[in-house]
Amino acid sequence: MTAYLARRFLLSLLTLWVIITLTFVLMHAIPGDPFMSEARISPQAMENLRRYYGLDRPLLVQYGRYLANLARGDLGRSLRSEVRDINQIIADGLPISALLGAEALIVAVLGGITLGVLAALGHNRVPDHLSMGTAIVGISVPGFILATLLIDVFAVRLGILPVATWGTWKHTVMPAFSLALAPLAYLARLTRSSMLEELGQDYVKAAVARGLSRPRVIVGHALRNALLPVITVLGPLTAGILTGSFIIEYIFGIPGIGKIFVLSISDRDYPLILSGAVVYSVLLLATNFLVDVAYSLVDPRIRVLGRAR
Amino acid sequence: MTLLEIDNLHLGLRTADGIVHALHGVTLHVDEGEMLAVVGESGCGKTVTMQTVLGLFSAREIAYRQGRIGFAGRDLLELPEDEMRRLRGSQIAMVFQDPMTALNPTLTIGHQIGEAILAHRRVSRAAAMRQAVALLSQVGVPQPEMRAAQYPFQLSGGLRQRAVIASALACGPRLLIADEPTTALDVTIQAQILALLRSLQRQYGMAIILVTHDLGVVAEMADRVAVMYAGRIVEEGPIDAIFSRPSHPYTWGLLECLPRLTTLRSQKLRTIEGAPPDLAGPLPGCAFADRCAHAMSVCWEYLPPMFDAGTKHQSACWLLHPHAAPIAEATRLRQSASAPDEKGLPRGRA
Ligand SMILES: Nc1ncnc2c1ncn2[C@@H]1O[C@H](COP(=O)(O)OP(=O)(O)OP(=O)(O)O)[C@@H](O)[C@H]1O
Ligand code: SF4
Ligand SMILES: [Mg+2]
Repeated sequence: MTAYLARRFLLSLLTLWVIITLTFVLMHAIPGDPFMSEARISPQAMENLRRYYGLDRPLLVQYGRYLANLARGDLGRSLRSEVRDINQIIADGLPISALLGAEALIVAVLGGITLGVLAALGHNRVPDHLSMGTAIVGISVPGFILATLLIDVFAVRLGILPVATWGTWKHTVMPAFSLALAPLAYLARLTRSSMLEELGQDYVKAAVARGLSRPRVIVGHALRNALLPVITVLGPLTAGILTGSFIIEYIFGIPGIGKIFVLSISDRDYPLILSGAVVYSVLLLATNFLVDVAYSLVDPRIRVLGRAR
Repeated sequence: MTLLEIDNLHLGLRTADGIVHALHGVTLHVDEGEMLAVVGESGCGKTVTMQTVLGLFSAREIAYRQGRIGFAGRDLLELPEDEMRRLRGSQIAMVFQDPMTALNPTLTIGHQIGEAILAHRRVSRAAAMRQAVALLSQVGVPQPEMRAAQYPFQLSGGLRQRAVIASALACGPRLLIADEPTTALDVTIQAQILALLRSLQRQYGMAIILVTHDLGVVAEMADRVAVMYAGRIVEEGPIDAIFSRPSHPYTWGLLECLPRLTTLRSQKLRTIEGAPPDLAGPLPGCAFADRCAHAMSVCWEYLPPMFDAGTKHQSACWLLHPHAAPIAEATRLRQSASAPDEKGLPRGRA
């Protein structure tokens, strides 16, 4: 298994490098540069600025410098924001975004699996219809619409939750829920179908025939295996929550990294955009790697054979 | 003494396409310590009967269920689920057809044998695991300790089926139902598994129902045979009677299909022509009538009752009605059966 995971880790690093390079190339392919819209800067000052930030050097040199700094853990300096040190910007915003994302992920996973299992156990009856009805709503209503609806009901009309910004746990309820609903609905449907499939397997019947109680058969046999496909989608699902957080943070005025990176794009703040790509890629690759580790722990075929089925 | 007594069991199962009338009055008994073979073509209801005995169909799958399943003085159809659960695995255990699918792929062999013990006995997990290892060695699994820690995919088909048998034996059941335990295995492994079942039966003194569609297997092992067709037992009797004096045309067909030592490889195996009836509709008369060479008009109209065909030997065929004309086929089969060298009994095959 160690060899398998080592291979996966190296692959992650390679992916990260490809992403950074692609972002770098794409960013410079867009015409214009960060200081173009600053009309009042004299050509001389512009030249100085460009030299100061190294934008006058050949692309390859800029690229090499960036990679070298990155390897030392230095994300560089922002061109536009008040706090210039990008490491500092991220240190300020990441914990907020991470908390929000983690909350949303937990709500989505626990809620989705519970709904899915209930639906499968009450197949074609009331629990099934209720869960799947919720899931269809969750999948078809985009997070930002849900967010505005929630704000309207809970903040404006009922006044029981704060409208926006960040501070207490109450501030996290609506954004986390807005972020969680779509993945929750997706997980509910996946868990349901996976659970139904496992419940129909011979080994479930065999476990019942051995005299195991129903909860033991359901949890210890069927659910255990039904969660394998659920674990595999946790990676992409985290990606969905991360990208969803851009707009949710924006709507709720949450000072997380999502909002900062959205602004960095319209500002053409090259170093900040690159850092955004790096941070998000690292987050994604890390979750995917963790998912792989988790998967290989629960599926003996990988743990023992050291490779996928 | 009778251990299991199924009396006029009717069962309908719900499917996406409507109700399947799977069992039409199955009547069957197993005595303490004996081996009963249940034979019949695919789809005749062997598995459904056995799984009904263990109560493996959920209330939602069952459209209707009538009759009686007496086991050690109790009617299993009336038993509450909790008592039924305590009976499963401890009093009646089951070996499934395909050891590939009957074991959970993500749990170790030892775990799956151990949980059968833990479901019924108050012992520690460690004690259950030790017992699992002992059971594995009893069913002839080499290096039982290592095997107990392995997963199903690490074992060959034969070893897996031995593991399944070990889990069935875990609590020393009084009745072991083996539902085609060798169909999914290689021929050489089949013989080993059957030999194992036979020796375990002697050792444990338990009754075994061996479900199979291989009459050859039956001849070697069973005390009695029940022949099943379209959800009903059509002939039942001691092994010798079934082979030497079969009295139901369907059994004649099955015996004709039996491969013999004298069958040349180039010769195609004979099969009974036609297909079993559709279990979705009603069957007023004999279900075999459409395929039977001896069918009379009464056969389509009235269900043949069980007639006595000898001592402890019964057959559901109108030909046994005292007024029916004798049949040449029966006479011929009887004669060929009495000539030892042409018997077609694969007794010495193993
Ligand atoms: N779970 C189920 N739900 C509905 N119908 C079923 C179910 N299991 C079996 N049946 C139907 O009941 C009938 C009897 O099937 P059964 O599996 O008992 O046959 P069998 O004699 O065991 O055949 P085989 O030799 O192929 O195992 C078939 O028509 C089958 O389609
Ligand atoms: S009852 Fe009639 S149709 Fe049925 S097996 Fe006997 S002879 Fe054939
Ligand atoms: Mg079967």
